[in-house]
Formats: sequence, structure tokens, C-alpha cells
Amino acid sequence: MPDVFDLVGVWIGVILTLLVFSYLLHDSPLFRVAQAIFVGVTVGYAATVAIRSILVTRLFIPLLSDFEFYWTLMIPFGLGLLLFTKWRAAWASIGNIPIAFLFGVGSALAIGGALTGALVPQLQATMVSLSPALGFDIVRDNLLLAIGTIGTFLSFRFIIPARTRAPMRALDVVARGWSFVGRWFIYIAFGAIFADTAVSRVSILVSRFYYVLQAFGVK
Amino acid sequence: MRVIPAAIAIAVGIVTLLTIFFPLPLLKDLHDYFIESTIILTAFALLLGLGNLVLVHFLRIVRRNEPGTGYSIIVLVSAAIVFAIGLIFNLSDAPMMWVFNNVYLPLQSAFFALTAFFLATAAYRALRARSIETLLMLIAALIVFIGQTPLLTSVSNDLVLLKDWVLKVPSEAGVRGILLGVALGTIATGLRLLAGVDRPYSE
Amino acid sequence: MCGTPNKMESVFCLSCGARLVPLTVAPAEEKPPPVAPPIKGLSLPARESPGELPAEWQKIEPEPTDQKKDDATWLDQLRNTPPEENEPVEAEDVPTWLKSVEPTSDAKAPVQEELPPSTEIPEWLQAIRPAELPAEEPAAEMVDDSQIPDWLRTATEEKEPPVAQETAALVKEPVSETPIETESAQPVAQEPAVTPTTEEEMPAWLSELKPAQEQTAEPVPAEDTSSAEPLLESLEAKTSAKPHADEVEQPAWARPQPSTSSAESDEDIPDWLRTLPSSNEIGAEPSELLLGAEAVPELQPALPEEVPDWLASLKPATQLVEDDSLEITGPLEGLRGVLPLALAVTEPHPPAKTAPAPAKNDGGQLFESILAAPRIETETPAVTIKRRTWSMRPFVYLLIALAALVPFFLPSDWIGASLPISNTPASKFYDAILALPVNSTVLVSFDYDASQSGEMDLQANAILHHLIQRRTKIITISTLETGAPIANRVLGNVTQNLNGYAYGTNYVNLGYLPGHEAGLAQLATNGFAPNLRDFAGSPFSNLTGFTGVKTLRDVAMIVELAGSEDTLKQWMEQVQPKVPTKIVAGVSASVEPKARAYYDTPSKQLTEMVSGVYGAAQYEILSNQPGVALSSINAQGIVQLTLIVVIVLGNIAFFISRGRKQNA
Repeated sequence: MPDVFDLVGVWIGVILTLLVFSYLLHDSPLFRVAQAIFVGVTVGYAATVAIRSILVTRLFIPLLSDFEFYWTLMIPFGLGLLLFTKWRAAWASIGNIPIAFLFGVGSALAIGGALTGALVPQLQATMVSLSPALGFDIVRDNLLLAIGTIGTFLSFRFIIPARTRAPMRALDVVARGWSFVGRWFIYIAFGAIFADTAVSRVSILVSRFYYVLQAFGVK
Repeated sequence: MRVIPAAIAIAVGIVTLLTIFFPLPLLKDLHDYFIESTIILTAFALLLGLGNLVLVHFLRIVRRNEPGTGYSIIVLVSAAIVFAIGLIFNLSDAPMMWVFNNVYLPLQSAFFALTAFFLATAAYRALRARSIETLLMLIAALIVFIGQTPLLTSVSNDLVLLKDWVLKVPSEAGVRGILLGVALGTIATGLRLLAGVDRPYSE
Repeated sequence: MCGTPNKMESVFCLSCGARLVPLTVAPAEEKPPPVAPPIKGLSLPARESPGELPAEWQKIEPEPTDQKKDDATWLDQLRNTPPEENEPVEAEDVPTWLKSVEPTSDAKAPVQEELPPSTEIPEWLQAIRPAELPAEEPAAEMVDDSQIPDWLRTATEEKEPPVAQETAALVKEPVSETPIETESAQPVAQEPAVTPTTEEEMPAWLSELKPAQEQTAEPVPAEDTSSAEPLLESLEAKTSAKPHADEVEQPAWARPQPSTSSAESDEDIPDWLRTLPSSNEIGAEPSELLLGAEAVPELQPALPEEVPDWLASLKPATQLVEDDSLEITGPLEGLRGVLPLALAVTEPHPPAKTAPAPAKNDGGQLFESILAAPRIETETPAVTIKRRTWSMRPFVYLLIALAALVPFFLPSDWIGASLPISNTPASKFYDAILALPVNSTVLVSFDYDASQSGEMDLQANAILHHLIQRRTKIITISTLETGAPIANRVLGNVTQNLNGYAYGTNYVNLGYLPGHEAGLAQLATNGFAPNLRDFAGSPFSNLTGFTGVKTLRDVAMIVELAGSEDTLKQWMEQVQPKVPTKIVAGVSASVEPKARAYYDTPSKQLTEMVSGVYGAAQYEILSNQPGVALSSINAQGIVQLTLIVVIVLGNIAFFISRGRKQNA
């Protein structure tokens, strides 16, 4: 009996895949049906995960098993319920409290992460050696890395410095020139990212063809 | 009413941030509690969003005269079926795994696979040497493509080395610059929020 | 201020935005003239409490010399406004005379509290200040981004955010509770399902104007005051009920395609809105609208029943200008020069020949300079390109589809055999796993969802096979909701028919680790919580094989299978700095360029990395377990080759067409 379910499942999957691919011919109702099913299944699945993997595991089981110890979890529980006041316009401002909580913790984690996990190590990686002892190839690559990284970073400048004093003006000219070069590196990075993204999508496309052909017994 | 959310965001944020750098016992307890609460709140936030989506489709069905009512019925029915199965069975049980493997996964994969075609047309249109910048982009893309196309790399291993060089030196410089910019932007945005200058949580 | 030379007629500096022409003081005896020349560019409100407007005009005070300070004050106010506060900002943009129509609103009160009233700028001028800069500087790139008011910023964002479709749907319901939305539900119903509705995007004050216009078509003057209530209710509802307002809000005037809306809603929109040329220009229009409202006290007669007494008293004695546009539809039908805004924007103008109004000299100059601004070209050259790509698209699709299909029917495996192996990232990854002590525990994080399983499953299979070969213990988790069933599936495949490698003893699937950054931060600092449960719901502490594993320090290696850069970034930022355990990654090809930045750091944030199906195929060769990756690498290569041909063809077509254009 499970084999029958598996077989039916495979063919349902194949049919749904073909429905989605029908979009290439035309944006047909068949594609829309597949889209609607996908949205529905996603909603159902995500709701199940939210309840089973988070609420039940991390909230209800601890509260029911040992309330004395876990009573503090009632606060996030209450905050969570406050979120639903967003559904009613008149009460929606109360729902800002849990959202503010999420933003507070989220921004603190983001700051800490960006500092220790991105800024410091990436700056370290930019401080490369240009010692001739390393050989021409390495020095060239390191030089390119440093110029490119700093140039790219400079092209994200949003503040225009006051151009009243001559040194500042000179600095500004240098920064503008450097950021112009930095833009070339951004374009190279975009080219690489585009190509690699296309490679990734091609892999997924091939896997879908493989999946359909397998069902038809070709592979 | 605007003060309370701001006070909560600032207090919670500062405690969490301080603990990352100074993990004192009391601060750490608070930090752990805040993190656990955040995780629980994400579930409610997810349910809120899903509830809104369901409500929109439900109202469309109730009004009847809107186009796409049929699709809304399909959305709601499929959501209800999966949710019902999810309430009865565990996520790892066979029925939920069946739904995941035979409905969810093929659909999402197929939608993503479609983008391969769109990227191909985008490649035809966008990757053109219109200026120095786009020429650089085109060359980088071609090198990266060629460097991982087995039919071509079997001709010469230098193509692979060239691709590695592009990814390792000029592309990495660009990515690293972007990463640094994003990191600084994140820090600035976060600090503005913790200073109460930005209050995205209140209307 | 900045020393940039500006045109004589410029009011503000094009570079720094500082005012070049000092504001003139309105002498006490020169109050707004009772008979004023016609207003350009504004449909005046249908109601106003008599006497209020003149009172505000009296408040005009000399502009302080320290312009920068003032700019900073009101710009700070703008900056301080959180991005989600679209509606309140719009409410602030509404001139004082319009605010005065509305009864006190709870929803708006806090916004006003937050903005300290400037003593130097009159109230009505404050109301229009946010609109001044964009209106004054037509070249968008010259405007400092931070100076653009929030509502204008949303207007210039042409592309919808990725979540726009969903969120547009999400916000629809609460809005529809308000009377005004219910009233205009019909046009919404006509919209396609995925198109954000006009009603939702139209600023509340515009929505309010619409019914007011409808009412004036069949004159019911008595309703004027009562209809202010729906405006506020709708404002209130919109400001409070939309958690993602900034993502979906694009005011109706900023939408260049009224054709998508239904016929009914089209009729409701006044002509000047309908003829808006492009979203580039549109950003400036409301500001002109407001400027026109406040700065030029020139009036044209509207329908008698629409005009309150105080407004009627301002009726101009001047004759109609020859080229004033005639309103042919709507409540202003038959009137000239009431709404010439579209003309003001789309056509080049000499400086307006209106008589200078001494009392409002500043506003007049401003308006003049707006009219004198050069026309922004609205034509988009997309027509020919569109036609060409439309014809190429099926050809490209067919080519890609054939390239992906045909290799499956060709019995060849020669391509896989020629993959470079030695000294590749895949071989270094392989060596790193080879160096793991037997019986050590490895944490594998399945951070990709179903969409990328076609690519990432192949890597996961290859790596897990190798880990099992090495007899390591495996713990799998996922920071994505749908990663856990994928881990379950892959583990099921690789442990099939394996004797002596049992669940709970040798491997375990811990399922979904919720909270993204928060979840990972918790895992990094506190390790595996005692009450943690596996994917099937059993307590982790009950699993006999993993009793010694309490924190990430007890794990010999972390394998991050990243389908997107986001999850990789989270691991690099939340876990890697806090935990000494080595992190290696199998990444999707699309993540590789970004993952390189972590891979090539001196601190080795990522110690090893394998990428895409190409890397998976190399890994299969290395571990001597040929699988799906190797068998599909042929098709992969052929499609990539086709893509290269497509790109080359695109460039050939481009150069041919460019050559033709140059010859022509």
C-alpha cells in the first residue's frame, strides 16, 4: 500500500511540475492552479511548523510541564498574543510593543554580528602585504584586492564632505577617482554573481528534467 | 503610546548588545531570555502573516465578484488540508513527508527552475558590451561560465584557473567592498534604532 | 552656501539646496489680497472654515538668515520619521488648511507630538517645506537622498518590493473595514488578483477628495462637513492597520499606468492625475500641488455649490488666460485653468507671466521657477527593444530546453571523467573530512529550501556519504522552516541499506532551529538546550549516541549547506566569531562569489568550501561514489554552453543593430 502512495505521489509531483512549466508556453489557468496550490500548501505547512516546532516545543510543553520554572515564558506568550491586535485598526498600536521587542533584539544581534563577523575579519583580509618578497603574482593580486575593496567601499559613500578647505577637496577628488575604479570591480563581481546564479538555476532545471524523465522511465 | 515601544526596543537592544561584548552573569541571563522570547515571537509573527493571507483569500471568496475567486478557493482548501494533516501527524510522519516530497518540493523546485529560462533571456539582453563597465561584467560572466563548463575545461585547465582567479581577486574585491559597506550600514541602522532615532516599529 | 553658481531665477541652490533669495516680509497692511489671481495646479478643497486661511497667512514671518539650521531642523524631522510611517508623513504634508478641516485624530496626534514646532517657520510653510526641495530640483540625481521626504521616496521606487504582492493582499482587509473603502470597493473588485489596488495606494487625502468630487457632481453641500469623518477614519485605519505600509504604499499619483485600474476608478481620478507622464516626474507633483495651494493665492471659480463663502469672496476679477486648459470631465467640467498641472509638468514653460503678488512673493517665485524648469523627457525607448526580445524569447527557451533534455538521451560519461580534481576546493574539503577523527561528531546544517534541493541535494548526498564512510556521528539541523524535511529525506537516502548506522546512535535530525539570527546566537552561546527535541519530537537528551554533545565546542566540524548567502552570513556573524569549531560550507553556485569573501580571510571564517553541482560531481569522483551529480553534469555543461552561445549571439545582435543605427 505505501508503494501505491509513493507512485501516486511521484505522478502528482510530475503533473504539478508540468503545470508550472506550462508557463513557458502561456500564462495559463493551469499555471495559476499550480500557483494557488503552492501558496496553499506553503501556508498550511508554515503554520504547522510554527505551531509544532516553535509554540509546542518551546512554549506549551515547558509551560505545561513545569510552570513554576518556566513562568517567565508567559511574557513572550502575552507579547505574541498582542501581535494579533494588528488585525484591528483601533488596537494596532498595542501590537507595536512586540514588534519593538523584535526590532530591539534583532538590531542588537545585527550590530554584534556585523562587527565581529563581517567588519573586523573583512578589514583584516583587506590589509594585505605588498612585500616584493612574496613574488610578482601575489603582490599584483594583493594590490588589486586592496584597490578594488577600498574602491568598492568608497563608491558607497553617501556623505559629501565640506569642500571648504584644500586638503578636503583633494581628498574628495581622490575618493571620487578611486570609487570610479571601484565601480569596475562591482561590475566584475556582478558578472561573476550573474554567471554563478545562472549555473545554479541550470542545475535546478536539469534536476527537474531528470525528475520528470525518471518518472517516465527514461533515466 | 509611542514611548513604550521605543523604551522596550532600546532597553532590550542595549542589554542584548552589551552581553555580546561583556557577558556578565546577570546580563547573560537577560540576554538568553530575550533571545528565547524573540524565537517564540517569530512564531506568532509568522502566524499573523499567514492569518492575514488566509483572510484576504477568504474575503475574496465571500465577495465573489472578484476575479481569482476560484484560485482563492484552491489556496484555502489546500492550506486547510495540509494544516489538518499537520495537526494530526507530526512533521516527520509519513503523511506530512508525503505532502512535502510530492507536492511542496516539486512545485517550489519547478518555480525556481523557471528562472533558468528567464535568466537565459536576461543574459541575451543584459550582458552586452555597451560600456566599459558592462564589458567588464560580460567578460567576468563569460570567464566564470566557461570555467565550470566541463566540455570546455577539458580542453585546457587554464580556463579553470582563470575562473578561480576572477572569483578570487577582482570579484572578491567587489564582494568584500559590498560586504564592508553592508556591515557599516547595518551597524549604523542598528545604532540609530537603539538610540531611538529610527522607530520602524511604530507608525 | 556651497558656492555653486546658480541661475539668476533660481530660488534654491541646485547643489546644496540652500535658499538663494531671501523670503520677504509681508507688511502687516499687505495681507493677502481679497481678490487673488487664479491658482495653478490645485483643485481647492470643497470646504474650509471661513476666516481660517487669512489668519494663517498673517503668520508669515521673515525667514531667518540661518537657513542651514532651519533646514537641519525640518530635515531632521523628516529623517526621524520611521520608514513605515508613510501615512502620517502624508498627513503632515497636507497643508494646514486641509488639516483644519479634520477633527482631532488620535492616530495623528503622536506624529505631531514628535515634531517640535519650529518657531522660525510659519506653520503653513512648515507644512509645505518637505515638498519644496524635490519640486525645486527637477534633476533627481542632484538631490541628496536623505533630503527626499519619505512619501516621495516611495513614489520614486518604481519596482515593487518582492513581497509586494503578498503584502498588498495582506493590508487589504483591515483597510476595507473603513467606510471609505467599503464605499469604493467596486473598483478594487475589478482589479486583477495580483495587482495592488488603486484604493490601497491612493493617499488618504486623495481618497477623500474623490468622494467629495462625486458629491459635487450632484450637489449636496450639506454633506461637506460630515464627509470629513471618513477621511480621518480612513487615515486612522491606514496608519495603524498596515504593518508593511512602506512596502506596498505607492500613492495613486505615483502610478504611471491608470490603464490597469478599472474604468470606474479611472473616472474618479481627475484629469491632471490621469495625464501624469512618468513616475520620474510625478514625484515632484504633489509638492507643486501643495506649493500651488499655499503660495499662490490665485483662484478660479469652481462650481458655486462647491465653493464656500470665504472662497467665493476671493473670486478673481482677472480674465481667463488664453491658453488655460478646459476641464472636460469631472466635477470641474467646463472650467478653465483650474487644473493645468499636467501641462505645467509636461510642456516647457517660459517663466509664468502672472502678476507678482507682493504678499506672497516667496511662493510666487518658487512656483515660477517650477514652471520654468526644463521638461523632463518622458519617452522610453523600450518599444523597439521589447519587440525584439519578444521574438527572441521562445527561441531562447526552446534552445535551453533542448540543451537540458538531449544529453539525457546520450550515453556518455566522458565529461565527468575529465573534471579537474587535484588541488581543487573540493579536494581540500575532502581532505578536511578525511582528517576528522573516527567517531567524532559533525553538525550538518541544511540551510536550503525545496527550491534549491535539485542542486544542493547532490552536494549533501556526496558529503554525507563521505561522513558515513568515515564513521562520524552526524547531527543535522536547519535554520529554514522547510530544511528539516529535506534533511530527513537526504538522511533517509544515504542511510538506506546501511547496517550498523542507526538513528539516535550514529545520526540524528534535530529539525528546525527557529529564530534565524536569534536561534543561531542561542546555539552558539548556550549550545544544545536540554529540552531540545528532534524532528520527530523526541527529547535530544534521550538519544544515547549524543549524550556527550552539549555545545558546539563538542562538535568536530560544522558543515553549512548554504542555498543562499543569508544563511551563510548568519553562521559567519552569529556563530563563527563565538565558536572555535571549524566551519566548512557546501554552497550553491549562486552563493560562491560571496562565500569566497569568507573563505579567503586570514582568520579563515570558512575553512573549506565546495560549490554547486560541479563541486558535487568532483566530490563524487573523489569519494569514488558516482551518483546523480556526475550523471547530470553532462546536461549541465551543455546548457551552460548554450547560455554562452546565447550571450555571444546577444552581443552580435547588439553590435549589428548599433552599426545600422550609426550608418543611418
